[in-house]
Amino acid sequence: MQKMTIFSSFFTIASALSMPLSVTFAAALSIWTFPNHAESPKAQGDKQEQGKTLMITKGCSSCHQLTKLPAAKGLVGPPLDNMAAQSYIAGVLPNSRENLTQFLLEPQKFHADTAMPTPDITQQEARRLADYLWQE
Amino acid sequence: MTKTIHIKLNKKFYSIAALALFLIGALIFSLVYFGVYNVSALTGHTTPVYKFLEHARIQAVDARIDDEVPDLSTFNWQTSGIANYKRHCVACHGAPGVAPEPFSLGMMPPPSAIVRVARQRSPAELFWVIENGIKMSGMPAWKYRLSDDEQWELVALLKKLPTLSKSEYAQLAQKSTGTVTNNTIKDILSQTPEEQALAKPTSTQQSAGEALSGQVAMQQYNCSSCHVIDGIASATYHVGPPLNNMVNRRFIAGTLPTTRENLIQWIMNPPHFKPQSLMPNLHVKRHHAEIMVDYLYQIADDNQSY
Ligand code: HEC
Ligand code: HEC
Ligand code: HEC
Repeated sequence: MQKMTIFSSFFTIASALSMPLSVTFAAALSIWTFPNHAESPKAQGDKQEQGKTLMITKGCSSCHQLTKLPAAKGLVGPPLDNMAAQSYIAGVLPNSRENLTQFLLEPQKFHADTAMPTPDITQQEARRLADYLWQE
Repeated sequence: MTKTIHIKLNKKFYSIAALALFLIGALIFSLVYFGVYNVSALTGHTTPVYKFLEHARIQAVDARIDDEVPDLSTFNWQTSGIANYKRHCVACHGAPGVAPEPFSLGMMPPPSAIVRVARQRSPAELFWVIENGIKMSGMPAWKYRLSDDEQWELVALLKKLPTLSKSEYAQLAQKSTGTVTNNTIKDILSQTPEEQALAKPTSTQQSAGEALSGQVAMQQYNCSSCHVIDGIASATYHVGPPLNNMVNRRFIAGTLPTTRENLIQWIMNPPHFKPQSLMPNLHVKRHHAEIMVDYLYQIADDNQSY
């Protein structure tokens, strides 16, 4: 009987000591299954495809890097990965889809000394590009 | 008979399990006892620990928030919200174009880049954090210092901050009946004499004997609260561009040609080159900027084969 008590208290101490481990394990598991916060609603595939094409035909890809578009590996401007998670555009303009569209139409309007030339694009093309860049 | 065997087996199983648990416990105990994990505030957490803490915090906050959020547009964030923000928060968190106080840069965890947090978190989450603070970090609880309304004003302001440019914030900050700070637009957009003195190159004498790595220096000026930088654990939402391959890009901030010297100059005083830039002047000393730039060269891809 006495042995039993010693045994069970030993067991309690041992399990108390191993608590941190199981907590860490559970947390690691939940990090692994943790959904990505930055995911934006899926836009139409077509429009995404148009955006992708514009990135190349309008010369963006020669100045910018974009992981999801392997052809884009320019190193003149900053990489454009995951624009939705970025607070500012060109370090001066608060980021939003609408502001990004405006920036693409006329970068100089927001940063007078900018090294980014004004792209030759229509309002609609600017919107497609902005949607494409916002999509993670 | 069978009964006794059964019990024997059970006993054996339990003692093996207990032994295993004991060994695991002893291992964790000795990790702590012998101080394996470094708690110095000079270096950050490792990436797994950072991720773990960040995730645990979000879960802990989400489990406790109240879903009832008042209409934020009814709160006066323009005057008393900004006044309270300038009085209680700017010192640690900074504001668009405004650097936090030097002491806050030495904190670990560092105060979060407020614009990033405001974009990422819901009003209810923000309110909870302001009211309760965060244990084992420097974030104070404001429940007994600010009224509910004042705290909601701050939430409304935080939600507004990411939509403000540097000059818009400066105008609002000036208009608000600031009780303590009197930042005028000019103060924010130009350097004070002390700032100019700080931005001057310091003699190499001063840096002699100071064995600080660029990586530690970047953490000590809280660069990683706004930038993704290889080798430093940080949030994936960011305020400025990633710095991983910065040195191979043609321009700094879209205007300065990228050279070692220009990078140093930019880090020491961004508004000098781009007055409306939302990277604030963090008063980086020259020898610190130099080792930061060395680190940027170290983490860049050196293979430019295209
Ligand atoms: C000649 C090179 C060049 C071309 C072509 C170019 N850009 Fe840029 N881009 C830059 C530079 C340089 C910057 C940095 C501007 C600044 O900070 O003022 C920039 C900035 C940007 C930004 C802001 C990035 C950030 O992280 O804040 C976006 C978005 C962008 N460009 C998209 C485009 C798109 C879309 C196109 C094609 C229509 C394009 N760029 C074409 C050079 C270029
Ligand atoms: C003494 C410095 C200090 C002051 C003053 C301070 N904070 Fe903080 N705050 C911190 C630190 C440090 C953290 C980061 C905690 C962490 O990462 O664990 C933080 C975190 C936060 C967060 C949550 C960030 C996240 O990642 O979810 C919010 C929101 C916040 N602070 C708002 C405020 C507001 C509003 C005020 C003014 C009423 C304020 N803080 C005053 C130090 C401070
Ligand atoms: C409050 C947020 C913030 C902090 C803190 C910060 N930065 Fe920045 N940083 C920015 C923003 C925003 C930009 C974009 C500026 C622009 O284009 O005008 C930037 C741009 C840069 C650039 C140019 C990047 C490029 O792609 O052109 C470098 C280099 C840089 N930061 C280094 C640093 C270093 C080093 C530190 C620490 C001493 C630091 N930053 C701290 C926000 C920050």
